[in-house]
Amino acid sequence: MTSREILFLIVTVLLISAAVALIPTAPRNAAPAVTAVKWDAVRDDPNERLKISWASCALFPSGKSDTWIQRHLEQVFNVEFDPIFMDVPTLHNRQPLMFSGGDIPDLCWHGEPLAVQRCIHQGFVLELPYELILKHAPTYVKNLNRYGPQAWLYSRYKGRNYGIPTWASGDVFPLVDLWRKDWLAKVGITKVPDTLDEFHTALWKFRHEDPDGNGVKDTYGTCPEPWWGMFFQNIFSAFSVLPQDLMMRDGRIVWGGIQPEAREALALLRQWYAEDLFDPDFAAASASSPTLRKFSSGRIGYYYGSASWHSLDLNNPGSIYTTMKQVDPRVELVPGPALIGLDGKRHARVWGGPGHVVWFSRDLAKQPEKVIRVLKIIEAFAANPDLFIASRLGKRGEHWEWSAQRGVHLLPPYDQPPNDKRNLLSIKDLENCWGFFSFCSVPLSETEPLLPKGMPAWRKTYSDPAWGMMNALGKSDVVPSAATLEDLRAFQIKVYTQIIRGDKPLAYFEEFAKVWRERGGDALLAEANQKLAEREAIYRTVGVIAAPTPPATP
Amino acid sequence: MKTHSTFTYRRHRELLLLILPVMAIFVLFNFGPLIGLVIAFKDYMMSHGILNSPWVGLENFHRLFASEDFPRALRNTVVIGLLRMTFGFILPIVLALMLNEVRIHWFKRGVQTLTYLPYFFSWVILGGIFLMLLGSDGPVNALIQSTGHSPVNFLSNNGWFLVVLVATGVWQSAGYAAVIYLAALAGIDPGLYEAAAVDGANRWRQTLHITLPCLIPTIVVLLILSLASILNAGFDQIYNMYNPMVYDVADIIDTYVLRRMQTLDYGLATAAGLFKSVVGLILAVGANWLAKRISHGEHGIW
Repeated sequence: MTSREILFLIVTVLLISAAVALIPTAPRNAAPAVTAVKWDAVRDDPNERLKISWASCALFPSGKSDTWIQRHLEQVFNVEFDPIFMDVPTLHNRQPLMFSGGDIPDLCWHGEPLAVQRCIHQGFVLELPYELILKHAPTYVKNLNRYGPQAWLYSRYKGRNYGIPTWASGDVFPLVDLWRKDWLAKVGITKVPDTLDEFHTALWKFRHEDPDGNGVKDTYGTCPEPWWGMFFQNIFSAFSVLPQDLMMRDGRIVWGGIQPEAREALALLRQWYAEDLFDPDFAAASASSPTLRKFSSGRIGYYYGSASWHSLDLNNPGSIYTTMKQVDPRVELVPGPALIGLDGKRHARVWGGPGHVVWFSRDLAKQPEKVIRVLKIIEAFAANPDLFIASRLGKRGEHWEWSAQRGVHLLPPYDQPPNDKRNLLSIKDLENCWGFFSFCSVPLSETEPLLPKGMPAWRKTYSDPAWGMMNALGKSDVVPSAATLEDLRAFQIKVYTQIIRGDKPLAYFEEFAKVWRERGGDALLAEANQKLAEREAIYRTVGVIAAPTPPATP
Repeated sequence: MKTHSTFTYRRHRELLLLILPVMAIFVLFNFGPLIGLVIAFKDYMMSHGILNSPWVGLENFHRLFASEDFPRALRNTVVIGLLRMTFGFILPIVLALMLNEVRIHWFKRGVQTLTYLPYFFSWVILGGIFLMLLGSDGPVNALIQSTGHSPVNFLSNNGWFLVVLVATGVWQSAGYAAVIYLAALAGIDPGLYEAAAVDGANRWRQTLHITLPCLIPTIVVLLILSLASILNAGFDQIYNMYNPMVYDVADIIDTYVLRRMQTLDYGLATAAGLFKSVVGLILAVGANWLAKRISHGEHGIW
């Protein structure tokens, strides 16, 4: 090939590109083709055994087929499940490629409304009218409307509904922190830190007074998690601000991260970083968080949000306490509640009631009875708490037992990881929406008898729902331009880290707020405020707010 | 003439049969997918398929260049590519020349094996090792701290990250690249050296006036090939080592494309990939033209 021929080739390619550019363009983001199902005509025969492929919540990557729970539910509902197990990274990385290859399971799950929006835009998702859910799952809807109505926005796209929103009863409880009690004692602190000042003192001593007593200055106060949902949320909460969420201020939705309180919190964090209180690795963490490793290896003495009744249970072979005790018997752990904020009250970020979205493959337009069957399944979980409990814990006496001290706990060999997750058992998430087959909650009153006797008092001390602050819309990515939110969040974490580390002056915060607004933040806030009105309309349709009574005909 | 070429084909029938599977693979996996490039000009939706998705003209390209991320990714790709080429190109030549002068056989073999070895490790493994070595609690920082200095954020500081990236990249591939030069060195006629020695040239002179000129054709070919792939800034390595703090210098076109694919934005991802390929083609053709121009038609691939 001569140079002239190559040149000719390039020119041809460019000419073709130019020609393509002149082709009349269709409007972008056109609504996906509507797959019309005449739902009134669909009949689900309970005697017909249906086969349903089930890619539910991504918490059980090691799960196996044909567990006791699966067989039990198959028998109750006369179905045959084909479970597909994933973890969250797989869901993010591989699922899009799976879908584009045309491999869409009958039932899919997403934690983020944005991911649902994208799948809807690609035409993977079957439309699901509100009336259908109301008709086949009335008890479920009643619970959802009462405990997590914000989730109705999660499954909505361009004025239509595309999935079943889920809700969680236990997400109203704030996260509880984990402290090294032996370290606190070593540096002369007898009380678990409560205020920002006490917190600062403890972290400072952890760094500078050799709490592990090895004679080497190799410990830090803490190592923050890099993920936006955890990134210094404990400190920002003490300033009454949610840096990565939409917040209500004077009847309007604003972004917490550009409020003056966020700047104040950054000023403090910046000072603490200069005092060397944070393990510097937090800034370089990407996919996996280094915090758990740092805490269990005795490099940091405070771990935000990782304590629970079960994680502190020394009878539980899978708890972090047991694991750390095995390595070093001197380890003592204690829980700590959210810090007391500047206003003298405790505050903590919570997800609140709304949960995730479960949706159906567009291919079910040909087998719509499967959709009805799933709606019946979630209705049965809502109406029959025993069935719900069996779907989470298995069979009493075989998989789990109850005692006053430990509450509900798994029996050997299921209490030994990974046997629990392999068999789809998870005590920790009983009150949550993280079940593989029951991806919804039941009211707290139904699961309360399973808790340890001391749990209510423990919660009053360490995890009071009254401290909770939640996003004004439940999750921010329900807005149409949610795609920019991902970039804005990454941008914000980067700038915050730069300010905390001292790479940028504190005054850079104003510049950041300006750029944040210009890069799509303002548009996002405008959309978020519009969503408030849209949400009210949905609330009327699904019965969260009583529909106005029609005027009496004369 | 015609009978002559038919005869040639018939005579080499076995060889032609041998190359057939390779050609089939090329057609199937390299030329076939080219049709899919039309996605770059469409709002691609899975449910509509490639042909039925609506055309959007150059909108994907508009979006590409209007975004914050792509121009940055393009700049980073070029910067990292150039750095990698500069250092990664010279070092193997130096290594090969030095190895060529070593007379102790076992030592030469040993060094060659050791420098060649990293090439066989996947970046998933190497990335993990370097992240561990260079972390704040890793051995490198422990060494720095023991000398009384404060630890260095190798992985979250823009400048340091580039240094780490280029250094580890060159370290990994230098041994492999040197093998090609060693092969070329072995092909140099020993008579030339003998004649030079008779003329009184020392080893340095011999290197300068015999070895290097004889290597030039190999160097030119490799330079052209590496210019064409300058926009391949090393996806495996960067993907396994970078983090959001260094996106400013380490987010390259390939990582950008992957992120777009994961958000199901296939149109944008294809547009970015197509752009990259066109630039790569222009660079390769340009380099070849330049090589021929400078050497008066002697060197160059085609």
